Amino acid sequence: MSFLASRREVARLATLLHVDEATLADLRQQPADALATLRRGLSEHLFERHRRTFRRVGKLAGAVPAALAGRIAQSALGPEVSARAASTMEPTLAVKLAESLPAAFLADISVQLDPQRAAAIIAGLAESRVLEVSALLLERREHLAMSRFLPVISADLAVRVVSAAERRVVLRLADLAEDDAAVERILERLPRSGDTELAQAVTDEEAALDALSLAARVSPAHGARVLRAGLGHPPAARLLAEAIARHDLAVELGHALTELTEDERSRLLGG
Amino acid sequence: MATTFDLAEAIGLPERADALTPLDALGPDRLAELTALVRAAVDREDALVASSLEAALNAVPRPLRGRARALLLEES
Repeated sequence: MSFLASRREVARLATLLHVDEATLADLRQQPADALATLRRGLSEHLFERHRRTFRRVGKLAGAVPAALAGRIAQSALGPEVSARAASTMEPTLAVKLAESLPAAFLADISVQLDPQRAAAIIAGLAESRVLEVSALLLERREHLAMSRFLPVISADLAVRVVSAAERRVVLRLADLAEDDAAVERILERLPRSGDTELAQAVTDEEAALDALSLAARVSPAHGARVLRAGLGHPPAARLLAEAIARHDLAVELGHALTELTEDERSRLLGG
Repeated sequence: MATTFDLAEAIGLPERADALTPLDALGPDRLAELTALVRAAVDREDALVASSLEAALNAVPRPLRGRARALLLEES
């Protein structure tokens, strides 16, 4: 059972259920696969129940002038229905509409958007637009929404998005992002000179768990890089070691741990 | 009191109940709470879609409203 993956699923599920993550804290002990089935199933169910309606809204948006469609989206549909309707639209039209909307409303829509369903739309947006919306999401602390975009934008753009965030937020984004390969691509592009700052962001158990989640989901070499950064900063090293012991994470971190020297491993695992 | 079948049914996937059976470990009371949260999320979405559609129709200028209504509410 993967505690770190279950913890990640609980954060996603809480958002979908509109509840505080703490309400579902006990689910962290449940298998990640079952939680992922529940979360994906609910997300799909919410969309499928009204798919026909969302498609009609999308058709309406295409049938009226773009300025009017934008006004209706903002004043009547709201971000949730707009986001779902957008994902049923022809991407070129959706991009055209998105470009005409204020960044603040696009950020509202982004929180509700399923990036996998809307990948073609996101790919069509200008980089400056993505950066503008990302800055707003960061300001609003919409970390889950931001994390969902990282796998569907280019790795270089994702690095620019991530570089604008505080290091603690980078750890959170790395934990929440859906795609391990995307996280790997971003980490390999982040300069190693910033690793100390990442370690300094580990100031409590939740930050330690985010850092360990990052170490567990990337390649062994990059995982070891994350763990070594933590070992280089004693307060972080202590928190990482405590979190590994408390949640029995040695197996989940196995690949990264094998890359460490025996001395480094014993500092994290004790004994 | 609920089972993982109730939870699977709440997400429209009774045939996938097997994939949720590990959550039986939560116990019937906790499963009932979780199922209630899922149903509340579904109800919330239904209400949101209904109210948004009505608001969208009202936001369409009167000359276009008939066409918009036909487009949004047509039977397929």
